Order: sequence, then structure tokens, then C-alpha cells
Amino acid sequence: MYFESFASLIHMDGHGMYVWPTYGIGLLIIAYNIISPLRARKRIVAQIQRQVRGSQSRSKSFSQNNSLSQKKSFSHKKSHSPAADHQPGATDDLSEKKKAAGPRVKVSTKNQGVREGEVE
Amino acid sequence: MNWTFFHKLGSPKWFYEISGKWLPWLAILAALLMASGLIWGLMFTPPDYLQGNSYRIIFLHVPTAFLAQAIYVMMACAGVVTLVWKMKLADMALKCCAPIGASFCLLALVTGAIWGKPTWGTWWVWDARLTSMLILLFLYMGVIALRGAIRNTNTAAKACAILTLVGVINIPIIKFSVQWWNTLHQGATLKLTEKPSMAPEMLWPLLISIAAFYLFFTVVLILRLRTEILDRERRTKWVHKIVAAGAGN
Repeated sequence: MYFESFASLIHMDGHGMYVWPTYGIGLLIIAYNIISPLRARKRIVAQIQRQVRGSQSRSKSFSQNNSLSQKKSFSHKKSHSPAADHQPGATDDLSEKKKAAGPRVKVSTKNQGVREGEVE
Repeated sequence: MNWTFFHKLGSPKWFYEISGKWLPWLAILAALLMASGLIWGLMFTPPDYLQGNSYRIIFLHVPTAFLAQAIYVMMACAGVVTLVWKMKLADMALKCCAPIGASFCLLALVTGAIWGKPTWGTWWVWDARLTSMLILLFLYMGVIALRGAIRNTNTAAKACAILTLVGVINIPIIKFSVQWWNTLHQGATLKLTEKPSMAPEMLWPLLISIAAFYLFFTVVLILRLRTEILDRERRTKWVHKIVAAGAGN
């Protein structure tokens, strides 16, 4: 080491008061650059997890309701569908309703297929 | 020429997979280099015969100032790729580079100001090098703000690419400011064409910390890019699979 003692390393012949704060600020910037993307990642992953779970629970409730009558299944489904995020699954609801207006058996298999594919 | 590698590079899924493999190694290397470069510079090099110990700020100041400019040039290149080939990954890179570049630019300005006090006797002068560097910080902030102001992803990509390209004129101004104008800032210590005007025991830690900061930039850029990819590709099955497999590395 160039410096003889810890005290002289801190003091640096009077320049320590400039050098050490500089390195402190440098450390802060480095920490920001590491922490900020990690936190963003956590947030985004949680969002996507919610979104996937949302579409899973919707598909579950849909398959359960297939045993009930058509009208009931719609009202039931509405109350159970997670209201939160706007995502592709949410817009699919409309098309499902349209399809569901057709023959019952055909519709249920079709929709299940779509759901499973999306959740996979 | 075979262009498949170029299209592969533009695929977010491919980049996500390959960068996951590189990331830990790059991070370890960056940490080792940064620790050794900075500790060497702080504790083991002799003081400068003119500036004394205050010159030790160079080991932070020069790498971050280099990077602040290099990142901007990289953003401009990404801007060209965005405008010409409409590559998704290029726009993501442009977006992710901006906050990193801005933080390095700020650090270069702050370390320079602190270094200026014992060396020039003032924190700040409106001199060509310092002012053009401040403009670079404003350009970074402009790009970040512009993206925040435009909701549509494609429009934001185009607008940011154009703004970045217009701003790139500032880079040669920063580089040659110490030659064109009479400034307080000292000339370049490191030149590609000449032997460095620095003693080797000071030069080595400087080169190591420059390499360390470039690697550090690569690591944090990959971190940001991977998050951005997950965000933009959140409707795809492969992202759902990664998220389902637990936070997804």
C-alpha cells in the first residue's frame, strides 16, 4: 500500500475530503444501476404472474360452469372473473360469449381448447 | 453474406435465453475488475507530482465519462437499426441504455466538479468540455422524458430514435472541445494513436477500471433488457412458462 497508516489513507494529504465523497457517490450510482433493474424485474414478473393466474382461474370457472345451464354459467362467471388487469384474456370474453350462443357441446370443447392453449 | 445471425439477434426470446447464460460470468468478472481497479487506484498508486492525491478521482471520472459518450453512440446506432429495420430489440436497447447513460453522465459531471475544486479552485466553469457534457445529460433526460410522454410503443420508438440521432452531433463536440477551444479541462490522457502520457503504475489501474465499467454497463444493460423483454412479450407462451417456473432467471 502506498499510505503508511489508515489515518493517512483517509486524510490523503488534505485531498481525502474530495476523493472519498467522490467514491461514495460513485458507489451510490453503481448501487442504483443494480437495484433499479432488479426491482423493476420483480414488479413485472409479479404482474405477469397475476395475469397468468387470472386467465387460469377464468378457464377453471368456465369449465366448472359448463355443467350448469348456459344462462347461469354466464352470471356465475361474471362474478368470479378477476376484474383487475386488461389483457388479451379479457377481450376474449366477448368472442366467447358470441361463440357460446351456438350449440352447447361444440362450444364448450372449443373454448376449453383455447383456454388451455393460452395458459400453457 | 449470411444474415440469419442478424435476425436471431433481433429475436427477444433468443436474446433472453443466451443472455441468461452470460449474465453470471459477466457479473463476476465486472465485480472482480472493478474492485481491483478501484482499490489499486485508491491505495496502491503513488500520488501525482502536480495534483497530489486528488488525481485518484480519475479512476472513477474517466471510465464514467467515456461510457456516458459511448452509451450515447450506442443508442444512436440502435436508433438507426430501429428506424431502418424496425427491430424490436434495438428499440428496447435504446430505452434501457438511457437511464444507465444518464447516471454515468451525472457521475462524470459530479466527480469532475469535485476534482475541479482542489485542482482549478472552482466547482464549475462554463467551459466547452463541461458545458457540452452537461448538454449530453440533458439529451439523455430528453430521450427518457420523450418516451414517457408517448403512450404508443411504435411512435415512441421512432421519436426517441430520431431525437437520439439529432443529439449525436454533441459527441464530436465533447471529444474535440479541449482542442477547439481554450478550456480549463486538460487534454486527453489516453490516445489510441500515441503512447499514453501517464506512468504505467497509474495507467494500469485506470485501464482496468475502464474495462470494469464497460463490463458493468453490459451487465446492467442485460438486466434491464431482460425485464423489458418480459414486459413487452408478456402475452407469449414462452414468457408465461418462464414466469410459471418461478421468477425466471
